[in-house]
Amino acid sequence: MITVKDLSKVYRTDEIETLALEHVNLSIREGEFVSIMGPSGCGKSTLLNMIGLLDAPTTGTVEIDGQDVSGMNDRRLAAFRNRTLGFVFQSFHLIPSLNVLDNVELPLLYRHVPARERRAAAEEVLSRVGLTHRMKHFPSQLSGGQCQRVAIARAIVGEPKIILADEPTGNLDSTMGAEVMNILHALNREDGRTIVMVTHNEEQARQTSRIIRFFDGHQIN
Amino acid sequence: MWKVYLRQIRRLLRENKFFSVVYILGTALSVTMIMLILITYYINTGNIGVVDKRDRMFFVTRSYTVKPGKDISGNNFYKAFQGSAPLSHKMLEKYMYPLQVPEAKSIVGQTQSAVYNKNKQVYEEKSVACVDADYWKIFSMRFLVGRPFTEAEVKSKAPQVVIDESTARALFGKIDVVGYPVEINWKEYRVCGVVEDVPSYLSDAYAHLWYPYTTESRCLFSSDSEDLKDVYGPMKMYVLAHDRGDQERIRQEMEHQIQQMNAPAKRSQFVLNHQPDTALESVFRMSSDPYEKIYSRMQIVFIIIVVLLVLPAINLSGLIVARMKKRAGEIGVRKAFGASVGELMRQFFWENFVQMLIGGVVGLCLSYGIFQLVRETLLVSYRTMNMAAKVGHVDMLNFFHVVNMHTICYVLGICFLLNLISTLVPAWRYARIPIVDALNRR
Repeated sequence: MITVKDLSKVYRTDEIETLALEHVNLSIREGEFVSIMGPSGCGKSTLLNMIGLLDAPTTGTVEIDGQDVSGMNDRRLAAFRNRTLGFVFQSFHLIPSLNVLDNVELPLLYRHVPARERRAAAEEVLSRVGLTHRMKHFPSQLSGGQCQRVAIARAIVGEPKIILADEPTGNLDSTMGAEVMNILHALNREDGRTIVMVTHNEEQARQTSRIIRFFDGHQIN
Repeated sequence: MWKVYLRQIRRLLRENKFFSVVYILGTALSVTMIMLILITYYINTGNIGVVDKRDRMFFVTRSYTVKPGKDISGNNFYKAFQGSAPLSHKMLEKYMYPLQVPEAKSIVGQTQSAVYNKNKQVYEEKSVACVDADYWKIFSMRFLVGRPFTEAEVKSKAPQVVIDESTARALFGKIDVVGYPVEINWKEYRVCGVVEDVPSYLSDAYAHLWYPYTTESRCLFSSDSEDLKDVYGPMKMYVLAHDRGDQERIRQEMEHQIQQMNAPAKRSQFVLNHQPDTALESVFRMSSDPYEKIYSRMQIVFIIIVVLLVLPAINLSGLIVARMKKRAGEIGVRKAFGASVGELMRQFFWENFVQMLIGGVVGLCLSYGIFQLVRETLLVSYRTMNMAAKVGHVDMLNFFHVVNMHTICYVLGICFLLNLISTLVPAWRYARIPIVDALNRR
């Protein structure tokens, strides 16, 4: 499902050059729930950004669902992300000026799905994460756990094959964190979605099918 | 999609009240300034009221004389400017009446006169126009009673006069006064028709009384200098073309006519100086300036309008950048979930356009208020400046005479342009920032 070959990422400024990832090779099969672990600054989120096509590698290639994405232009990349990938961020990244329903509908908006179908799909995923009673609320009116559940609903509304979660429980307390993990596991188990999760939490990582560890930009297992 | 955008705009307006107020007021002020310029322009050039054919009207208002000669080297010919003044009726009759291209040609002189009803002992100081019969073809005066004077009556110097409704009421206390005597500058005329009042801001048609120019000695004055005999006078000519695109053809025909006038032996020669003018050109034609000066005056006004449009757009652009910075995270999220650069730019454009439209409506209301305050100054065009001062008042103009579909289209156009100028660069810049940078708000 995801193949990363000889991937390196270097951040350059006028004065310094930082090697974030060096010669990373990995493969993730369809339906896997993979955790990426390592200390802060080791390149976990950078790798996730490369896999999520949010950033471009300095060298190497990323192949997703059998497609090499390196040559795609902005428009094709946007459409590919929209259909194939769903994102869950540590700080939720909900749009504050949109209500829950509009936030969840966002991926379908760029797929030009008619309003009625968008609404039905959004309501369905919101019921799945237990938030139908908060549809007209704005993010500022929700708790952290509720925000993350909205973010998960947004990630899955377009039925992407892959969900990329960057420390999805990092801003939540243990109870809410467990709730979010339960939802992710259900999505993996019941829907067969491939999930790649960056985490610092060893216990949560152990519950996933595989752990990939990083240190100073290198894959260590 | 639009509904979602509109919902978000409503929310953004409520969330960022200060920004929204500054943004809307900035737009409103800009729209107001441009609206006032456009209203002035429209009053002086648009097809309004009785001047409903102004788009195909052309004006010959001045004569220009030059003296041809050679410079010191004796090789280069030049034409030294000698003078400029309105035209004489003789010159217009002899050289302009024979024009074939126009639909109608009218000799017009506007002045002030003492108007007197001997029977009732009522005296009024009125703005009068000495005109010919074609005048009634060019303007669409509405006759309440009677008729206009005919070409035969003009030729025979018949003392006929058309008066407006307010003059009829002032002199006679009623409007059904056809055949009644009225003295203009102590000469007796008979009323042949009564028309609806013409507002003074329609300066081309404005007067209270109209009578044949052949009956008024002041209109028949002409210069008597040897070379310029019968060129200068107090008159001007309005030309009605069949089509608005006929200006150049009429000009060529006029040039041909004045060639006959400018015999080579004459020391001074008459030049048209780019006449006949359109309504807009005639607004800018002042005193004896050559056409280049008139044209540069028009350019200056155009530049002022552009500056009025660009300066606020730059300020608004700064505001938009500030708001985009705050919304960088949102841009990142939208891109992550499939928005392309084009879609984001479209969204920002429409968001700002809606806000500008609100600013446009506020600007329209503001311009209404300011229009009421400065109306008298606005309505005194260059052409009626002296006359209006003498009249001592400017007719009431309803704002909604000039705010119609045209004006609303102007406002929409202004908003669209402002939006385009102010949004394009920030939207382009922010829609292209890398997703990771946007998400991290770097």
